[in-house]
Amino acid sequence: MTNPVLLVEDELFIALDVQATIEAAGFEVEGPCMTLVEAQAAVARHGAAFAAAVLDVRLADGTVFAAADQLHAAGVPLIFHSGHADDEDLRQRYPQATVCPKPSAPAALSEAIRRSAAPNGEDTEERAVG
Amino acid sequence: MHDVVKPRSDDAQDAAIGGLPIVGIGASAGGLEALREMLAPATLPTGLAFVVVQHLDPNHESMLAQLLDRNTVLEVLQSAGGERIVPDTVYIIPPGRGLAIRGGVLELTDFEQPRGLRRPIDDFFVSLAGDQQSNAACVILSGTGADGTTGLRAIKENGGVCVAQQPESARYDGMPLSAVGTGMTDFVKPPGEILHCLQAFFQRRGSDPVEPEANVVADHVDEMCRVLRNAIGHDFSGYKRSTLVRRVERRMHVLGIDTGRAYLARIRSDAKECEALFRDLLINVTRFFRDADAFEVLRTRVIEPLMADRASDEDIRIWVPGCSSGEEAYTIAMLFADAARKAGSPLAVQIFATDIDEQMLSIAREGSYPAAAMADVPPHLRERYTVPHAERFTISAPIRDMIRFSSHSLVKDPPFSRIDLVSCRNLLIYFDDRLQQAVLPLFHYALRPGGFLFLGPSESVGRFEHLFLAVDQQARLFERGPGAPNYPIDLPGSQRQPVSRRERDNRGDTTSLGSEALATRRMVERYAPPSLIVDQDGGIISAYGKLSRYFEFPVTRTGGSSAVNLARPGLRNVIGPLLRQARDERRRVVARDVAVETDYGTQPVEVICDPLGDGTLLFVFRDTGPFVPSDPSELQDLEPSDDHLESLEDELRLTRHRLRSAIEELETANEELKSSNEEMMSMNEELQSTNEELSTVNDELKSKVDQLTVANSDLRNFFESTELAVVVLDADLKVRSYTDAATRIFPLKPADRGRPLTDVASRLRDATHLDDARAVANGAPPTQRRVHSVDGQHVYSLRVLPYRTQSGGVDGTTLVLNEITDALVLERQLAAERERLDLAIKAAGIGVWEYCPENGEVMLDPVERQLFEIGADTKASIDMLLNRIDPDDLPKVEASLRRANERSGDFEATFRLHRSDGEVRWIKGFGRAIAGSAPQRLVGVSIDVTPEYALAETRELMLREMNHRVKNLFAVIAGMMTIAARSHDDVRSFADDLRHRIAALGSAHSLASPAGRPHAVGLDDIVATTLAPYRDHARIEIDGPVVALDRSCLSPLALILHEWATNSMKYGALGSGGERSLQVRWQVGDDGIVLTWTEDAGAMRDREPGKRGFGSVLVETSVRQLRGNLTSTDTDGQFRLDVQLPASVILHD
Repeated sequence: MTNPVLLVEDELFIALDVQATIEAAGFEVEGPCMTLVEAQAAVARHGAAFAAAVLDVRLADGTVFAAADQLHAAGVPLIFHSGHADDEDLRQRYPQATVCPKPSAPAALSEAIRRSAAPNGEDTEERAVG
Repeated sequence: MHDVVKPRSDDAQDAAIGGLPIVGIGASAGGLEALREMLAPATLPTGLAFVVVQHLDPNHESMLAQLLDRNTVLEVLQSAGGERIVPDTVYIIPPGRGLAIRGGVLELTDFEQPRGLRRPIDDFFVSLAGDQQSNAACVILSGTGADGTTGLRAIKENGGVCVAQQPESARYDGMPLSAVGTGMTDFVKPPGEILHCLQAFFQRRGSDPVEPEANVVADHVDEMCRVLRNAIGHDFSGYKRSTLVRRVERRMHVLGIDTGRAYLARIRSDAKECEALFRDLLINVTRFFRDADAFEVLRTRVIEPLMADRASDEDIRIWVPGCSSGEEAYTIAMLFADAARKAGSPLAVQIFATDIDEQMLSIAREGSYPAAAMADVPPHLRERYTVPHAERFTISAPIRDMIRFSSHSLVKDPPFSRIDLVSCRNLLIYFDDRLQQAVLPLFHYALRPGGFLFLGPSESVGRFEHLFLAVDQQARLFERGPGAPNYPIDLPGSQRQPVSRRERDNRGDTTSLGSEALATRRMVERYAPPSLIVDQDGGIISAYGKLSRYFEFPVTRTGGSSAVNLARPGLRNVIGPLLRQARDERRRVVARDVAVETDYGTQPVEVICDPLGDGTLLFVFRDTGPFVPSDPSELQDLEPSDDHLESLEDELRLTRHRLRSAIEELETANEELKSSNEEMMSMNEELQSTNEELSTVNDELKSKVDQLTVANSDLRNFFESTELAVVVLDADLKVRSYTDAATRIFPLKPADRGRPLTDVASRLRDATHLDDARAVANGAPPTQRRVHSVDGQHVYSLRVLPYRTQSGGVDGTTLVLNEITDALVLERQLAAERERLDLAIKAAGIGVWEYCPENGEVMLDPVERQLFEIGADTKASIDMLLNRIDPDDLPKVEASLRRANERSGDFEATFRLHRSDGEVRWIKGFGRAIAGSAPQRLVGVSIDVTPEYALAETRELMLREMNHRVKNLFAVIAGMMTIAARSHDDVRSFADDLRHRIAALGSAHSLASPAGRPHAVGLDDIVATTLAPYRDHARIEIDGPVVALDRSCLSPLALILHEWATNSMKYGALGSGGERSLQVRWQVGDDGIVLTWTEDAGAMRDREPGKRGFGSVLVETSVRQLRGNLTSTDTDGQFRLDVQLPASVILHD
């Protein structure tokens, strides 16, 4: 069993959509977390054991970076799904992260999730599914 | 009378050459014009110095120097005495003084002669000639009279050069004509050419080495003499070599000939030049009574004794060889005439005056001399023997008749003989020793024993002292010693023997004639009958034999020497008729049987009266019988008749006496008239000279007047054209003159000149101008003030200045009024404009700066200083400004400044400024190089644009926010589509549903437009907007407090309300066609908002609670999104939905 994918998204309609995309990619979804507090609680609950994390940047109670830093430190692949933050900032801060500008095509997002999750889990299986 | 001014050595001659030539210029009436013309062409350096001697009015300051100075580049100054002559300078004689030169230094002299007889030009020329020798030049310009002519001779004598103005070009040609008339001028030129001519002359002379040339000339002198002898007939080979060489050189300079050989060729071929050289060789300076002391000696030692001792039948013979123009001969003639007059003896004097120069002789014969020369003649002789005319005087006829002028060469012609006096002054000095030794014996021969020789002051008899004994060594007066005349002599210039022979024959005749006269005399005295020569009136001229028997010679001479009066009775009544008859009939008459009565008896005689040819009569007395002793008785008989005759005689005598005294009175009257006439003439002279002076002054004044006319016309034009109101007042504040512009302020008319300004109305508000004028006229300093016109519409700047006379004194004031109304208005406008601009700049917070790139200095206004935080007293530099600029912006600013400076272009830069309190401000700077400024300067402004920058940043932020929101909306729509896809099979209804929801989202979103409060959305607005499409479908009540919600609540709330409304349309109140009512209420509490949706259910169609449709998912998700709680109740036909929303949705300010 693979680790779940953490979804942090404060807009529920989007979250539902992304959740559907992640599940369609074959991962369980932890979340969606609507706030940073929820996200940090989820990280703590799972000990940062996620296959990947799909993160919206701006949340109702601030940016997601505090949580992102914890995930990054734990080696969780990060996928930023945001209509807000500059690509530049993110790439500088998290060079290995994938950025999917909102709104993104479901195929692009699921591709990003699978590629990010791959080094962490079974490569071959990922490819077969993809 | 040959004469030199001063003995000269060859050393002096050498010294003079190569020095600065000094040009003496003599001018009188009309001279100013000639002087201007002459000096105007001068270009520096001329190499000459000039001394101008003009006849000036002694009482009038001369402007000559001033006037000349404008016309020439030469320096012109009036001599004050003591100036050392320097080149290229014109010295002018001061009025009332004479001028002399000694050792190259000018001296002022006092005139000895009275006005009218002064000859300043002559005096200066003579002094110049003596001082400068051959470096002297004289120029004689326009003027009346003959001043300068004598001086010209002196200049010429000393080797100088003489120029006269062409008489035709002179306004008054008297002086030039007189100069040219001497035949001694070297050049006669129009004034404009004189300077060039002189320069050329002195250049020629200066450029020639003197010695070699002299030798060359000396080599040719003999040949030249030969040529001259052939051409003219006079031999100059016996003349002094140095003189000859000098004179020849002069001619060469005049002609511009360089070598002696060329000059020799010239005189060979040119007879005129021969003539000119001849005349030059004979240059002579001569004056009346030259060496007056010597002539005084001559008078006392020679002339008076000669007159006293002379034999009655012999003329005194005088020879003046080398007489030149005759002055010397006339001098001697006058002395003799005067001596004769004093002695009362007849003037039996013959003067032979000889010369070889025919031209000079003709002048001498004429006996007419320049009036100036008259000064040399002692006054008593002048009155008696000269006849003055306007500019000249002539020698009176009796004197002229004494002299025979003839062409005679001392050198080659035979001498005169039996001469009583030889006067040969200053001729021998020109002869060389050989010729002198030949001439002196000649004089010895010519003089009778006891005759006198009168030589010039530097001449002597040399080794012939045995022939001539000195009478007065000082005066060079000698007496011929006794001894036979030593003749024949080889006449030095002639080999013609016959002449000598004739002379010898003459001498023989003279000797035999002498003894014959002695014999005759002896015969008459001893053997002839007594005889008597009387004049026509019976005056006894001479008597021979024993006459005492016929005449009574009284001890005193009271009866005179009348033969009639002296005759003894008997003879007395015969002589008178006899005399008259013989005189009238011019025949010999005899009276026989005349008894001459003496005291002792009667002597019968025969008296013959024989008229002689010359008007005298000869009486011869012959006794015709023996002497009859007297008989006393006869006395009585004769007495009556004798008495009658006596009375007749007495009467006659008385009549004669009366006649004589009448004649004498007439003569006296005549004398007086003559002297009055002379006085008049001399006054005339004075007037003439005064006239000349006046004419000079007049000339000067005329040109001064010309200048004044120009200056006056300039002034008048200025007065007429100027817009300045000027009023000139005199010391009493009376109007002297004014400009047209002044009449606008003071209504002055021409007739107001001379009226006090106080009496003139003025358009000024007050009378301060009068106070000022009064003060300034009394010596106060100039004042300036503003005055206003009465109507207040005009403002004038009034300046009151002292009116200064030429002498510097204050004589009145000048008021200058300048209208400044417009200027003041302009000034005010400018001030207002400036104030406005300042205000604008201040209001805009614009700082102004000026920057000089060359030295980095900047000038800042207070705003700029405040911006850059530079103290008001600190001297700012560009570095201080640049230091404040953000380092990131600095290169950009510096580049723009550099560009503006180098290309004189514009500066523009926006930069950040770090202030000391850490604040960062945005500054926009504009600047521009000032065109044509040197050194280059930039001027510009700095504007604080920080607020604008803040606004732009906000807008940027908002744009990003909007962008985010739009993207979010797209994502939301995408999400809704995903959800909707799960519950729809039919694409049409799927699309329809979605479109409605998107429209609802859209209309809700318009509430969150960027205008207004971007983050706040009123709950009432959301409700009203969402339900707006259904307004007609039911009675809708909306009620609740105004509450602002966070914008993020907008979409979920809109979706929720939309869903509820859709359901209501399908199943509830809204679908009832307005029959049922719908209430939407909300309440705000501490824990949030409770929103209640209540509708009349009525015959509500069944909802589909079983299936969890798309709408339900939307509502649930939206409530979750809002973190709210939803409860729905359906009771009593009332469908009610309650949503509990947390307090976090309420927007807190």
